[in-house]
Amino acid sequence: MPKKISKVLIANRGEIALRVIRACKELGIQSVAVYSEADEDALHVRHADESICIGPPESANSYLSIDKIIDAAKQTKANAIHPGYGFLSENPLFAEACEKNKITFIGPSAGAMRAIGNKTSARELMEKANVPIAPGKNDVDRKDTKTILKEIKRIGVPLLVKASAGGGGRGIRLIENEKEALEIIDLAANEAASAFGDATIFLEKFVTGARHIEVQIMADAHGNVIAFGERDCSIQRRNQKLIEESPSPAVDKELRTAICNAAIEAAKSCNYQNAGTVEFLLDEKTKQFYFLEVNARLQVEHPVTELVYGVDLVKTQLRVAQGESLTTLFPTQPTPRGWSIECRINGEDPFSEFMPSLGLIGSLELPNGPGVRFDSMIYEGLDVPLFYDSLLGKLIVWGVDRQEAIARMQRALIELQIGGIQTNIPFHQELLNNEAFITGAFHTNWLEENFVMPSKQDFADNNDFALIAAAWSTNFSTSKNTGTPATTETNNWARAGRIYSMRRDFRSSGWQ
Amino acid sequence: MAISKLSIDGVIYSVHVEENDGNITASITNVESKEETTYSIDKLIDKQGKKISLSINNKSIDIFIQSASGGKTVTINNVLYPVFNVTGKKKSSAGGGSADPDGVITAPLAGIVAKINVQVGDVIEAGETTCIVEAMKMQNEIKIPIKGKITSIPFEELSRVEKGDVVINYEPITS
Repeated sequence: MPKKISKVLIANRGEIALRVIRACKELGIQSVAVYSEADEDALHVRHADESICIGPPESANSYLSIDKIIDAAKQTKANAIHPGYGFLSENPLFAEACEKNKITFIGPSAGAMRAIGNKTSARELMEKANVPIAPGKNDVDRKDTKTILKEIKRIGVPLLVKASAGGGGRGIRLIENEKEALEIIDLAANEAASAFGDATIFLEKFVTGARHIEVQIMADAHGNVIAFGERDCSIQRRNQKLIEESPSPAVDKELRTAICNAAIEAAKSCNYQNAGTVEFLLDEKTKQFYFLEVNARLQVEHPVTELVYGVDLVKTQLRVAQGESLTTLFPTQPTPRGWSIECRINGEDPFSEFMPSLGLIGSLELPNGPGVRFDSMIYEGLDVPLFYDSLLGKLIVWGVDRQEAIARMQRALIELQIGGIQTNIPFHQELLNNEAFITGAFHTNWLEENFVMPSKQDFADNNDFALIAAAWSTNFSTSKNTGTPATTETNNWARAGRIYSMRRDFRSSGWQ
Repeated sequence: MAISKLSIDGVIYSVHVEENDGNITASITNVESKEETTYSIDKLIDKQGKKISLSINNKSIDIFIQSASGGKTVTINNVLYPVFNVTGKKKSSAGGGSADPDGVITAPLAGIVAKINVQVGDVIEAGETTCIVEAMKMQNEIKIPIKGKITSIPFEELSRVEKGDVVINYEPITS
């Protein structure tokens, strides 16, 4: 029987570490942050009850070091670990290390991770559980050319050769005609062997023009599984999701029931526990959907589900991990209400091929008002480290319907202003004004095939104001300081009052 | 009264900002074309030099300003504009290396070697890009001024370079 969680170590950084700390605080659970030397200044370090430096900036020696993280948990007497997403979150060895040290791993078992982590075995599991999978052929013997050609005829081109051990868009090749098939299969097997140490490959029909639809599931230790509807993550660039929404413009009630039931069966097929996401490809014309993969963790885009279903998924994760039953937590099946959209705010320059643009955020204005949520790691004065991914935060809105959600997001994208680095906010602004996005007529390849980001000049020609501002700040700024600086309280009462109102520990007031 | 010589997108401007009894006038002159634009600013609120709010024709514009080596980075409505100080008489060029002696290419500005496009032993034509030095979020292509064979590359990708550091050594080829 899982024990009650009293202290959680968060084996992650950035906005997701903060998200977990917030859930812990609301549940009265202590939190421990771990951080690399590059993250000394990070917000998650300040918000957690305790924090431990676990090594140098390189992830391999800090956020990916199982030993260091387990040590930190023992040192702080944390009795549970939340892995967040990325890093060690889907590593069965990490889940096993937690178990060995009697630390509750907030996620699925190592066995479930392995069963669904390998794509061939996942396909077999789903087939047995009657979850629709794309037509294909498992365990392709590359020397048996006769069978290969027969299977290709049966499945039909275009089709994909995938590495069983691959994931996240890696180890995939496209076969467009039968003639080139054998050559590509050979290439793919060699690549798989060198990239993943496993030459096993399989063939799968390539569903063109499909939407990426995923189902949020939650499973407890008592065999109960709940689905919290779908998310549409079809707005992608190079397999990276940029906008997610719930519900999907392409899913009606009937389809939702079918796809949610399939996701529940998928979770049951491997005795899945805790939060997970079952990804499907949806052929909008035929309404046919195919299992893609299971993400054995909390997803980046979980907030859209939270807003539409009125649920706190992270708190639910913690409760389920300490043995609570979903039938108690959710006596009735949760139902969706309204519409939610999330924009991933990345430090990427949309005017030059989405090159990473990280560094000092000198100024920041946050979005506010009805229906707006901003889960982020940034603050004014943060020098965003170059060592990790470029996700700065997630802007999430809720509206009564899709139209209101879009208008609200457009409004919030103007309010949110990040100064000092180039973010992808202009990309989101442009996309949210795009006809195809507004009407919901897009699929996973739509963005790359159809969307063109205007040049900086065409997007907004403010060169003159930039010149005036630069000239002003060079020549006048320091001597003409008319505003009252916010940071110089002369009165201790005022200072104490301000600190109190920020609800921060007094010791941390050195961080402005 | 103050005049600044600044460059944005590789074009040099002379910017003249003047304040008289609370009224601010800014005029911007393209140094090459002599084209001039004048703005009358109703109000300017300066918040510790980090942020200013301009009001022109009752419309307010928020502008974030940050110092960077060689100039300022200005952000307006989530678009970043690197503005360089123009010093000296020589035309500021992002191409770099124009003043270098034959055989070496130096970094024209401090930054990070974002990409190295050549390998030791490569023979490249005059004007080809050898590497990219990123500074103030701008990608500066560092080109070879004459045809040459690359003999050594002192830096690795993502290393920090100072202005004047040799980034490429090459053997000039005259044909």
